Amino acid sequence: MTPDLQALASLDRVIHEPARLMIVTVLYAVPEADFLYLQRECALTQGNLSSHLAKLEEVAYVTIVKTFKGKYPLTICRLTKNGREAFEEYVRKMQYVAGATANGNGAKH
Amino acid sequence: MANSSSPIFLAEKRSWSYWFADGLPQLLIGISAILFGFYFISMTTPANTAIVVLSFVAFGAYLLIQIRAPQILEWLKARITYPRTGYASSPYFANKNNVYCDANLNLTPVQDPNAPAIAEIKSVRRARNRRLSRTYIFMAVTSLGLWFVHAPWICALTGIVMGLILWVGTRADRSVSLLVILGFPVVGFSVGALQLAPHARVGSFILGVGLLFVLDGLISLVLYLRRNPVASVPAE
Repeated sequence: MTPDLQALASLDRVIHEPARLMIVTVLYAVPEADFLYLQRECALTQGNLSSHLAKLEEVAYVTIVKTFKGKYPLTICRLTKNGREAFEEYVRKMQYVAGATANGNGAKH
Repeated sequence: MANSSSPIFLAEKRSWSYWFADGLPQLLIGISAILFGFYFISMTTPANTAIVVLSFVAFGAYLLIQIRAPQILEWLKARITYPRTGYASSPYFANKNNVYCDANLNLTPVQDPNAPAIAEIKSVRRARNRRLSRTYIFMAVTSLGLWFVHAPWICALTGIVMGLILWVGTRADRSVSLLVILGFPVVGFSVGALQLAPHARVGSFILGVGLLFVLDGLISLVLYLRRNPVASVPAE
């Protein structure tokens, strides 16, 4: 395997899943957001978002805190330091692969 | 990665626009400008005791809004915005601390461990802050004309120039609506047409701008409420 392809193989599979990638991207740009905001931004169903957030929480990429703003209950999600680093690493790898492909290095045997 | 079409950049930009979508920040800006304008007019023109007392009350309310603006906004958004379209932390605090506002309007600053590290996001936020600071400074400098140039046409000119400055300064973020931008020259022409004394002109201009922001805020709020009825089931 060429180094470029190896970079692809080592992509973080938790983040690589499209729905989770959307969630992590939103949480990367916004310091914290609640369940409803994420649901609207990512256009996911409640169940879908719940399960993806649970997976991200399981690997400690996201913290989920249930709290109140006034009388309104909020499920606030934040990217953890691990999650942030994992996302940056993922972006770096994708950039590397995209750059290598654009330069014509990726297809060499 | 985060060029102007990257998903990270777009998510950041959407969170910024989201802050203004409900019209509440514009309403608060408008109300505080009206209060200050009223205070300014009554302080610079002869008035009876009741008006003077009222103007001090208005100034106190203005100061309160200035000091507690984040808390007031959070309080309003917690009742109007978050139940409808969800909560995203304010971009206002994005470069500072993350601030949690509890039910008693106390702000608890939380050091944000998640400050974006991808350089482009930081530079986007820095560029936006620079742009907004420049806009405020230019507008403040332009407003001096109202004070020092004693001619009725200065109001119209100030309105046009301020509208242009606001348009140039905020067109990238679209955080100020076209109604406000186009309203500045209208306010300028109207204040000029009233042929007021120089000091009253400044106050009237501020008051007019305040009304403009209130109108913009009310329209945004009504449209927002119509588009987003309260979710029947609480999130999660």
